Amino acid sequence: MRIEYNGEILEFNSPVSGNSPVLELLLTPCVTLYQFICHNRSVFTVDMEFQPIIMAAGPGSRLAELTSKCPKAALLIGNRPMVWYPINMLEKAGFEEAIIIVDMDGQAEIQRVLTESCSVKLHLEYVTVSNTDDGTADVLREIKSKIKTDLLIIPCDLITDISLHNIANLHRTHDASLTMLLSSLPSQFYESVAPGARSKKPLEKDFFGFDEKRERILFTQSEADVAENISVKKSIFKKHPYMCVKSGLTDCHLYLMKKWVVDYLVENESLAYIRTELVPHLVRKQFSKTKVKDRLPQTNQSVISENQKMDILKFSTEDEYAADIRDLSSWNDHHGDMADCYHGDKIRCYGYIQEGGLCLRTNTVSSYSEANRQIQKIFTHTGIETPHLHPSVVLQKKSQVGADCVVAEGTEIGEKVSIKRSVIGRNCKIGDHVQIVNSTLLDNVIVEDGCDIKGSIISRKSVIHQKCEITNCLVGPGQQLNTMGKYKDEMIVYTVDI
Amino acid sequence: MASKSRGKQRGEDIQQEDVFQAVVIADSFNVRFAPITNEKPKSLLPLANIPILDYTLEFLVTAGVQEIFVFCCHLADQIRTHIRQSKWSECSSCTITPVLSESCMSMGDALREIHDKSVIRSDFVLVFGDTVANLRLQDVLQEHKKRLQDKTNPQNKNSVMTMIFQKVPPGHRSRNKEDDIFLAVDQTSNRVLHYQRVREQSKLQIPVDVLADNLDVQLRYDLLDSQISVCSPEVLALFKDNFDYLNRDHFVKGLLDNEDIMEKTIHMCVLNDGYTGRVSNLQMYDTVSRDVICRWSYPLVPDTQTDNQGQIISHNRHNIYTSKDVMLAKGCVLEQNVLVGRGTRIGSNTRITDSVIGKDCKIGSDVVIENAYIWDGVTIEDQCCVDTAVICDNVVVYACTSVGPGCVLSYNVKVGPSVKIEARSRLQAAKDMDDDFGDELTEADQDAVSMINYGSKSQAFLHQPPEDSDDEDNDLVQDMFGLGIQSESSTEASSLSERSSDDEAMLDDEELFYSELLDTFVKAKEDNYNTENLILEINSLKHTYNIAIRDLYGMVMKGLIEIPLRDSQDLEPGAQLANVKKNFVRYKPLILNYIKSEESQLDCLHALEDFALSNKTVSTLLVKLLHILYDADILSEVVLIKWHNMEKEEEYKAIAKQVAPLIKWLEEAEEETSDEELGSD
Repeated sequence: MRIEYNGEILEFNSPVSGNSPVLELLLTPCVTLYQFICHNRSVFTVDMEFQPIIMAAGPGSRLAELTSKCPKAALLIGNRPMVWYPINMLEKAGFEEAIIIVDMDGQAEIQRVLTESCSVKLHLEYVTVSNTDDGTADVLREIKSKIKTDLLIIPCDLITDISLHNIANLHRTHDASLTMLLSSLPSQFYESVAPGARSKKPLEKDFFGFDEKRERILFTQSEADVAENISVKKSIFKKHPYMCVKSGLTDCHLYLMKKWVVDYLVENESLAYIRTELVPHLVRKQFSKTKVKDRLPQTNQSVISENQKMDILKFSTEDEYAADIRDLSSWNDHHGDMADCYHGDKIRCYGYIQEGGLCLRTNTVSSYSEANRQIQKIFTHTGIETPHLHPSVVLQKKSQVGADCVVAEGTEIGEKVSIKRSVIGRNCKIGDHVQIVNSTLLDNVIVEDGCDIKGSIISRKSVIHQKCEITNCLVGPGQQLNTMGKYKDEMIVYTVDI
Repeated sequence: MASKSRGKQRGEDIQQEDVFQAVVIADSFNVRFAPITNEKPKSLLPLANIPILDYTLEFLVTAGVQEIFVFCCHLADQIRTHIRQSKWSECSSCTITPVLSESCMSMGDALREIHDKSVIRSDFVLVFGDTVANLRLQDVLQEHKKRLQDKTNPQNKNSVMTMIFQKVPPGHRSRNKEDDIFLAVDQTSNRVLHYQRVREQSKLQIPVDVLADNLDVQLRYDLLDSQISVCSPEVLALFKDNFDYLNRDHFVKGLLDNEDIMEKTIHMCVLNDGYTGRVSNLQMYDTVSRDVICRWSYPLVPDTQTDNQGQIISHNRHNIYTSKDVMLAKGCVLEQNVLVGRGTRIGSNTRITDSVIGKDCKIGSDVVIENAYIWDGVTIEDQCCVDTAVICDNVVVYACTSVGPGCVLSYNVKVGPSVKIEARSRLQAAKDMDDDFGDELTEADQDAVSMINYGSKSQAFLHQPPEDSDDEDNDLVQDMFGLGIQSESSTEASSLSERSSDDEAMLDDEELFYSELLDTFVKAKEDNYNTENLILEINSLKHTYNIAIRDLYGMVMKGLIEIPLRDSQDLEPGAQLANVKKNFVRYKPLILNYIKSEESQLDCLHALEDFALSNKTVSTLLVKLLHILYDADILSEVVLIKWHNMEKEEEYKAIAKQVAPLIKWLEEAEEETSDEELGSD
């Protein structure tokens, strides 16, 4: 039979039915809902393999100064809302629809910003969270009825040029329960001092223990949670005697997850967050065995109350065919002992380590400002073509705008202005003799003549009066900075009422 | 310019001309092989009919070592004589110098002695005299030297030792509990970050600093420590400076722990090809012998090695090695992996498999020998059965005797006829001479016992391992020989149960916490913690598992009751109670630390209530327990009465009824005291 797919024609020797795993394997990764035209012109659909969910309801607590009046997902990076970057990634991977989880208050703003600044082809289904205190796992529990297949969970603050199919392939190869994206962050993203802060915060390290091939995650532990020693069961070492522990990795909060995990979440309500609770739980559960029933209760031992909760292993059902194929195949994931593939573990967690390339999370003030500074690099990596000066920008004579900057539409720049490594938002007005270096100016900012702005973030509708000197500051929305003011390492967020 | 570069080259030449030296420690400073090693040093014991030391020396000479110092301690004369008579005495490429010192008690002492002699001039190889290996040492040496010349990385430059490991995954027969090691290594530089012996721990502890300071760390549990190390001469000086270093483990630990101060580092390398094995105990003797027979250690195999008498051995199919003048009677079967030494006669219908038989032995007819190591001049009469045993020189096993698994028959022992030697007996021909202090048995008695146990013609006495052995895992290792498979399966079983037990615990932090708490109590008892430390430990546990303080009160109390009950579960209730009481007295400061307020007392009572419901012993003892706690001023009568008067659910009613008499008594007592107080007013 023949299948026409995106203009390409795929030939199969044997007839293929609608949901055949063969078809899924052959198709380009991350196919969502596609129509296939067979040679007999009948149309049939294939269920999507992964259902993308964009988590955009986060309050942005580490960006609190910026998110007080604007939802985190709608914050602009290079004049595009943060959430647009994961959307763009999904579009490029071939997805046609996605669920986006938003805050009740933030939905309108996000929708407005998205339509205003860029065209989104992806069909977004907005789901609002009812309770703002809900964790990420709680959200999954809430939208259970909408979940039809395995999940692809993306945070709104992830900017990466990784091809999703690399992660998907790892997930498929091992028929994993959970696959996560881990990245060795380039050092400047966490080493730079955040605007408004005097010193950098110490970075909390996470430890990830991998198997010999550096794929399967055997344990996770956060440096903050342990005092002196990390203890790992010997039984795990017996299965994986060669373990690699990496400490320089950041969890990008991008997960591929089996559908049963959501079913389990519904049953086990104690897990509220994906990263801090669900993932460590699943990683630990990899090595649990179904209980031996005929163990005699010992008279003198305290009888632990019979567990009412359903065993996680009852949820983790594998595809029958996949299990059969694995049994018949001589392939094994490990060597060194005679055990079955995966040692019979039904739950398997994997981590895809991205080396090189671009991968960053704009979840802190420092990474947010750093992302803006490196915006042209991000654009090249993610394949976005934007002129660094919008055609509508008015640039007076003797002004210079570096090629590493982005200036959005409607902005007017005065005479003898120098702008380097900076992002200027829409409809800003920049006076004469202004210097802007390493800074981010959001929309509608007015900078009067003779100002000097270094390493700072200026939020919307702020007005910087003449000859201000601002170094490494964070200026909140709608602020008025006095003439001749000098500011260094300051958070200028709240207006002082007169 | 030209002259300068030539000069430099010449300098390199001089460096190249460094003599490659090795130090062989021909003593293991333990009694794993007792009683055999009472008469012969371990390094001279035959392995596949060749003294073990010869393998080590052959390995070193082949690897290009030019100067070897053999450090002999126990029965040093024998080793010296052996070296003098061996083929290496006139070896041109290599000089072998025995260093004798009978007073050394440890490897550390030996190295200090060698340091004093100042014979080591450059990087050297440190091995034990019981090593069988065919590694390319030169590569490791070059790697080590390259590291020292690396000016850019001080950690490389300060390296003093390169340890050699071999990849041996868990479950491999070369693994034994004694050499179960676990180490953390930096991925890029192969620097050793953490090194520990695993022993019986069910959880491995990895220091956080090790993981936090290095981006990429390998945790290896699949390595066998060959105990071969390439060392810088500084190693000797370090041993000299730190006289508490008794062995290499101490040295490694000392260096790793004090890395900041000493600024010395240790590196490692894993050899993927090549073979190493150390005859560290009987189990390893078995393993290494088999590896030699199965030719893993090629070229160190029986048919390539000739002793000084020019013994020629032929290698046939199924790894059957026979000397030229072996007499095999009709119908005798050598199945596989068998080595038979010169001048040995084997009777008809005898079946031998996986065994080594020495020179001039006489094996009768209808004998079954499996997995046995029979040395020289041994006589085994008809219809005997030897399974997994070591039989030393000149032993006689009379007819119809069966030698069980794990037996060791030392020199000149005679056993039989028609007896069954119990598994894992270690027999010697002479009686134990020492420690006759408390021995009730007279010599005649011993003889009689021997006759009964080991046959009418026997001359055999059970070897008593010295009890004051300072090796903590002595027994553990001795038990291993001959029982390899069983012990493996039992560990498997225990790990299974461990897994299922933590399965339950994992769902619930409280249960996990409780089991840790119990462990802490047990540990506290063993190690004699003082109360403050114990409280600290418990508090830190509480934080780890995020336990509410109110739950903690109950669990501490429950734990203090459960531990003594668990230890004395077969005893009478009265004795159990006494144990619990003793525990309360012991931990009273601890209890008082937690259970102070009225509220905490109530929490504790509720926990006891729940505990009594789930545990029959506790429920029968509950009244007594409460009484003890009351007497110890841990629970006040006010709280007890309050607790009793509280509204209760159905299931607790029985308990309430049970404790009613006590409460009544308390109430009366209180009334009395208040009456008294009134009266005094």
